[in-house]
Amino acid sequence: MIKTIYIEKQVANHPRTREILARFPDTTQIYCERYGEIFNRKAQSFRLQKKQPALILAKKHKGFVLPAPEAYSIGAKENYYFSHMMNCLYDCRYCFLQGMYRSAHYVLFVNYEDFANEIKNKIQKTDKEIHFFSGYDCDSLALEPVTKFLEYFLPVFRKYRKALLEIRTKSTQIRTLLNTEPFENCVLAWSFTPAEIAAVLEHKTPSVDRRIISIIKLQEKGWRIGLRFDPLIYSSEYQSQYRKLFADTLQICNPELLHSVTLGSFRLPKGYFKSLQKMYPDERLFASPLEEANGMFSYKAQIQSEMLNFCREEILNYIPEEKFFPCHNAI
Amino acid sequence: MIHLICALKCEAKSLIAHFRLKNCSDSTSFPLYVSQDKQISLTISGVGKINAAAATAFTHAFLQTSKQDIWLNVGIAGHKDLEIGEVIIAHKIIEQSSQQSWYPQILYSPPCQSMEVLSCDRPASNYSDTIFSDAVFEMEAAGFYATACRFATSELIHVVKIISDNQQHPADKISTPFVADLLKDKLEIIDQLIASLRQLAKDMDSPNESPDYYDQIIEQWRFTHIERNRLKSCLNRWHVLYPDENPMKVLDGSLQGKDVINQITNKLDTLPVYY
Ligand code: SF4
Repeated sequence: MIKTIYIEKQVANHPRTREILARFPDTTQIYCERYGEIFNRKAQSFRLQKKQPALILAKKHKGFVLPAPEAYSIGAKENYYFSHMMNCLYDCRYCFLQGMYRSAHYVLFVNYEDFANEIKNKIQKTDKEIHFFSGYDCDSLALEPVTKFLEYFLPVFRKYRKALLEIRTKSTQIRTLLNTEPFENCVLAWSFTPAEIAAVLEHKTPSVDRRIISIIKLQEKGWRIGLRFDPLIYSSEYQSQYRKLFADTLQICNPELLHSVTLGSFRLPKGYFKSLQKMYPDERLFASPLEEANGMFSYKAQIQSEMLNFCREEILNYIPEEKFFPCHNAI
Repeated sequence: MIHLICALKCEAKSLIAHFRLKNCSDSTSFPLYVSQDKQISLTISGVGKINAAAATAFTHAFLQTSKQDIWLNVGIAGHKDLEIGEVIIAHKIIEQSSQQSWYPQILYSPPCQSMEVLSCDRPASNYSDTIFSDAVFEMEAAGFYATACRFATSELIHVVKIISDNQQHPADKISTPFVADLLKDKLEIIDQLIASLRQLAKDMDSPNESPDYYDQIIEQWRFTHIERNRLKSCLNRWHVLYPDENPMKVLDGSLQGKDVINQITNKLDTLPVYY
């Protein structure tokens, strides 16, 4: 429950700001010049703020659409991501956002129109297939009732068939999607780890079962689905845990509507890893058999390749190779 | 530990009595009081942001405060129409001279309302003629807050003000006993605030203390400085995965420090990880 909203003075009169403030009349509303005055300060505890994050309404000035890391590709040569929001309602222990940001408050950039213009520019400048990813610096759906992200951006993409929008989520906030006509160039991509692992590491997220129910409902409506097994988390029982997860998720997917399946190994830049480990010194994940190479922490090479091979073989029991994009990296 | 910073002796008086603080005679720069269990301190800074900043820095240096400590600036303030005796907590502090702002993070249900606090260089006499007409006026918050943020995490640093003057009851009517009584009446709110902050502080990143067997191993084998760090991190890992087991059990016949580390690491890599 949001109790405090910070508002950049320059977006105080933006219609989206006014709508959000009207929705939360009982919050403490505090005006600021720039969101960085709150978000980027030193001496903040991400872990404490995560107990009661505030919402910050701000304006983004540049970098609306950025090239996506190559490992993100699901078939197109041109890949971009955009983040209307920073930080997430959920609290996954492996989440790199905890290492990247000083603050756990949610920053919502209300000037969606500027994002949309930049997206349109990118689409118009190419004749190739072009993919846009949302959900890199936040969960795209989790705060939908507040952000109305889908309400705004689905119509933007519906007009451009050659531009695919991937919405990455763990959320079950699907009401807007159920009330919207599906379209071909939008993929709703759910991330999964096995239920036992999710229960321990993915705090505040809907259970694996509830995510699967959301997928079933959206498929019935005709939406295209993606499955993201990212990051792969090692446990001594990973084979049975992932085998069950693949069966539970891939078996319910309608092959016609299943757009893609990706695998991503657990990787964190050294600096982020150290911050997370300091934040949660008792977390088993960070005491797993990890190693550092080229400034990145990941599972030891042998474990990683065994897991990737195992998962690949299992997944290919269910889907054709052209829908499979292995070795996606969390970063 | 909790550190209270008050500008005036009369503001501090009730707090000193309430928390049974004893004067610390070693402190010569600022009057400083500490509870017997060393869990609460109070420093009297004198008026103004420079004094508040200096007293905060002094308290940190004198008591060797830690990042998990709680800091409170408690004092009186003015407002155009808030009632005398009303308690507020700052959610924004503006330094009048520089227009710089700070935003204390209130991550609990506060026992009183939160407001903007304007830290002035001089006592404010005009309650309405200002662009910050709804702010609470005082003189220490900016100096205190900016300094305390160097030593602790901002979520545990707060400014609490009790309204002592307003348009109807201007500052020149304030007397020392009046201030002392004002504070005395509001101790319950300060107690509630401290209880919330203590609860919050429990969730601070706990410092990664080395397990007991670290010292035993250090005594038994020789390690270089770098090896000690490696040992510490592999024993921390051990402690997380096997809190009830002593790794000394797996160490057999190792002659050199690095062999000890390798033995523990090898063992860790072969033990199962369950979720
Ligand atoms: S859902 Fe994604 S963005 Fe949110 S906390 Fe988990 S990993 Fe991070």
